[in-house]
This record gives sequence, C-alpha cells and structure tokens, in this order.
Amino acid sequence: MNILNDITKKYLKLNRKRTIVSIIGIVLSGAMISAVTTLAVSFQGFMLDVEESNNGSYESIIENSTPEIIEQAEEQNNFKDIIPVSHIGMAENDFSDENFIRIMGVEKENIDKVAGMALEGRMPENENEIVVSTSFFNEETPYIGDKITLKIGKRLSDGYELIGSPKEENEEFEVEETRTFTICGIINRPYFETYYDYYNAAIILVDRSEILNSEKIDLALIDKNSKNIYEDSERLAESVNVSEEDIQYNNSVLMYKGVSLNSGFNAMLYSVCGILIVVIMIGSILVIYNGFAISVSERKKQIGMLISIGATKKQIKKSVLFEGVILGVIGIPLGILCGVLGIGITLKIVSSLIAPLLTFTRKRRNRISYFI
Amino acid sequence: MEIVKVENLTKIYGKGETKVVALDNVSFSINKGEFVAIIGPSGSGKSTMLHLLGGVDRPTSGKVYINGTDIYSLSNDNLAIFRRKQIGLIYQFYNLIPVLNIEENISLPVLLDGKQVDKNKLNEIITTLGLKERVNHLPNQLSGGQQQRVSIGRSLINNPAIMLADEPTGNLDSKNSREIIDLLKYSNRKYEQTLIMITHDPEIAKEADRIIKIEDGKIS
Repeated sequence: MNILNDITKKYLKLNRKRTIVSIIGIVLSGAMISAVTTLAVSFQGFMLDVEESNNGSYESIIENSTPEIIEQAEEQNNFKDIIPVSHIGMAENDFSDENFIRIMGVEKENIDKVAGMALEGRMPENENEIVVSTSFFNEETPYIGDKITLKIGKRLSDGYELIGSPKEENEEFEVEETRTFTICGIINRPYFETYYDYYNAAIILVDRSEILNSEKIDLALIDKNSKNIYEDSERLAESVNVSEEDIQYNNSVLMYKGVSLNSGFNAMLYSVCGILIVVIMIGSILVIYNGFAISVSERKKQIGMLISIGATKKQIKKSVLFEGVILGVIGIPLGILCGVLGIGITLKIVSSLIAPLLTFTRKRRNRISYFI
Repeated sequence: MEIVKVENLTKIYGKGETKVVALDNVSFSINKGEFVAIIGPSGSGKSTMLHLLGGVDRPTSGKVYINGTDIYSLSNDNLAIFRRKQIGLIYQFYNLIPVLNIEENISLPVLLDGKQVDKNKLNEIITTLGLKERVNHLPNQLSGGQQQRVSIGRSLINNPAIMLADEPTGNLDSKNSREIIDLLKYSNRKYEQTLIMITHDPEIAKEADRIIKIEDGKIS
C-alpha cells in the first residue's frame, strides 16, 4: 500500500463529516444527471409506446403487392418482423349510402403490429370477430358486441376495380362471400384508411394459408436495424416491382425511435437534456470543487509537511486524485442508482396520471417503459 | 571534508519598490560532522538561508552544493527526491502527519521512496529517542518534547547528509529544550551527522562548534 494513499484514507476517515458531505454532493449530482437522462429516455420510450399502441409498431408497409413478396423479404434478411396483410375485399356499408367497408386480414399474433391496440373493446381473438375503424361509427351503426353481416366482394366499374373512390352511378358490386362477424373493438384509422377514402377500415383474423392464397397483400416490416428501414423497404419494393409510392412509413414511430428525418422531437428532447445536464454539471462542479478545495486547504499544511519531507509534486497530485477516485467510486454508482430508482418511482406514480391524457379515454394497462 | 558549500547565494523577494533582499551574496562552507548554529534577529534572512539549504525554495542567484551536488541544477521532482534522501528537516512545530502513528511518521521518508524500512535502524532510533512505549500513538497523544523527538527521528531515518533544524526548541520549555539539544548533539556525534540549526537563543548557540551570524542578509 502506497503510504500517501494510506494517509489519504486515514484522513478521509478522520474527517468523516467532510467526506460524507463530499460524497453526498457527488451522489446528488450523479442522481440528477442520471434522472434527467432516464427521464428523457423513458419519455421517449413512453411516447414510442403510445404511438405504437395508437398506430401499430410497424416501421414501413409496402402496399399492393402479391404473396411472393414474403419470400423476397425473408431472402433479403434485413427484417426483424415480416407481417403480411391480406386484402380481403370491400363490403357495402348498410348504414351509409356513400361509404363502403374495406376489410383486411392479419394473423392473430401480428394484428397489434399493424393496428395498435383497440380504442374501445378489444382486438379480435377468432375469425368471427372484427374490429372497425372509429370512422365507421355513428348513432345508427352497430356497436361493440353487436353482430354485423357483410357481403364481401369487389367494386367494379367498366371492368376496373374501385377501392377508395366515391360511389359511381354505373358501378357494380360483385359479391364473393357473405359473412357475419361480431364487432369486438374500435381501432384508430389504420394505415389503409385515409381521410379522403370513401370507406371505413375493418380488420379480421386470417391464417397464413389464406394470406398465401390471396390475390393481393400488403407487407408490414420492422427492420433489424431501424435506421435502414428506408433503403431496405425501397430495395424490397424494387425487387418485386412495386412502386416507391406504395411504401408507407410509420413516421411517428420512426420519429420516437430517433430514425425519422424530421426528428424535431428528438432534437428538442436532446437539447433540453443537454442544457439540463450542463447546468447540473456546472452546479455540481462548483459545489464539489468547493468541498474539495476546503479539504485541500485543510490539508495544505499536511501537503506542505509532505513536501518538506520530500514528497514529489507527482506524489501529491496522485494522492489528491486518489481521494477523488475514492469519493467518486462510492458516490457515482450510488448517484446513478438513486437517480434511476427515483425517476422510476416517480414515473410509476406520474404515469397513471399522464397515460390517460396521452391516450385519450383508452382503458389500457399503464405501459410506461423505463430502461432499468 | 566540505559537505555544504554556499557560493554567492542571493535571494530577492518582490520587484521594484517592494523589493526585499533577503540574502545578499552569501558564501560559506560547512564540513562533515560539524554542528553549526545560524543566529540572527528576525528578518535577518536566516530562515531564507535554511530554506535554500534545504532545497525548499529556489535562490535568485548563486549555488548550493550538498555532498558535491549542485542542488538547484536538479528538476523539482529530483530535488524533492534528493531532499528526502540527503536532507533531514526539523521544524519548530514538528510537522508530523496527524493521522500516522509515531513509527509511521518516523518511517515516512523511506516509505515515500517506496522502500522497506530497516527495522534495526528504526528500533535503534526509537530507543535512542526514548519513544519505545509510544510507537503506536498518534502525534496529538504526545507532549511537545516527544513530538519534536519524533521529528528528529524522522530526519535521521534516511541517514541524510545534513540535518537542518529551524528553531527546534522554539516551542518547548527549558527542560524539554535541553533534552532536544542533547539529543541533537548526541546524534551529531553518534552518526557523524552534520547539523545546521537556526536559533535566536544565544545559550543554545553556544553549544555549537561554530556560529554563523546573519544580519540584513549578510554574514557578519
């Protein structure tokens, strides 16, 4: 054991109060910095979570393709999740003269990835249940728990298939099958329904063989590395001759993942965090330096003695550094622990208050993610 | 044999109007085993002289040779190492490390070198200084005289070329002063240790082989 380090340790023990105050200073600063970081990461994660439950967790969707795209996607091996969505067909909406219902089919384990969670009710659990877009409902329409019978088929006009366009006078409806479903839940407008479409979206469950037999499918994707989602999606679309215009990106999810090009949110979050951390650091440097300087000035006499006995400047520097290391080794882990735990507890309490605000009236378990 | 040689040593503090010449072109030499007392009124430059002999400060001009080494040609770190090996310093206020016990305080110059303490030498010093019962005590558990004895022990442990004592009895009563002076003289004889002592007490100075008087930065 180096004699100077020994002296430092004995000195720290002797001045227990000052040592503890210094450590508390370091703990506080560490706690604040880790709390800010944790809060930011948690907030980002929380917003991502909210967004994923609103719109689904997919990153991109290639629309209007054929089942062969599944094989292509698997071959390219860039994707963590490959989620086929089958075009089931259109149905006449008995509750509106102008509107249709457009039905898509997804496998049960994938439905939340393309449609998020139910706003009310729940997602379907068997093939006789259906979730319908919130835009469908008015005072006359059936509601959750009610049965709805749909004549599913194609809108045709002069041999052309119509999907989102307004009803034409000469169009015909070719019924392919008639099925009865129980409405089990209401969802946000999914990716295949826009504000100017003349239909309401609905999703049912299908199995893999039905998907492989469908004429047309959409393919939702989650990349192994989210940063590559743009180029990987484009490459895949190109390989099956699907136009780039048929690729949709889940921009809000990509934004909270820090991928999206227009990531104003992240820039804001990072700069606020950066500023806070700088402020905390300046504050704590002042506080800790002060405490440290006092302890150094108290020790100046001792340092003078050591110098007179023949301690070199290097040795003295080392011993002061050693003091800092001891304080840091005790203080920093404690600080990080306190910060993460503290913010974890705070978020648990606050989340129950925030979650309803962010997810409207949704009755959903409080999903707050923090990275511990 | 000359162990200390001082050549044209000058130390000036400050500049311009506040300039103070603490030492003015001082030269002298001291032989091995000599006991020299440096006396002079306060402000005469005797403490400056001791600091320059001890390598604690640096002179404005002039040279100090100890054991043939021009100590101010050394770098700061090498000077520090030279000091702990070749110079034993004794201060008026003992300058003991309060958190170390007596044995550790005496061993400190050796430990700073990262070396093992010669147990026989340590025991001999402790016995000579009459501190045998006290080795595990902390400095503040000892009387002033005992603390000064510890600092003498510390200055002896490395067999330094010279021992520098800055008013070693200045803080002690006459009985303890007597004891300390006797001890210093004893180690001066026993270990053939060169001893340079600053004092303003003429009685104590009389014990020395030679007296160097300093007044206004000059030897008179």
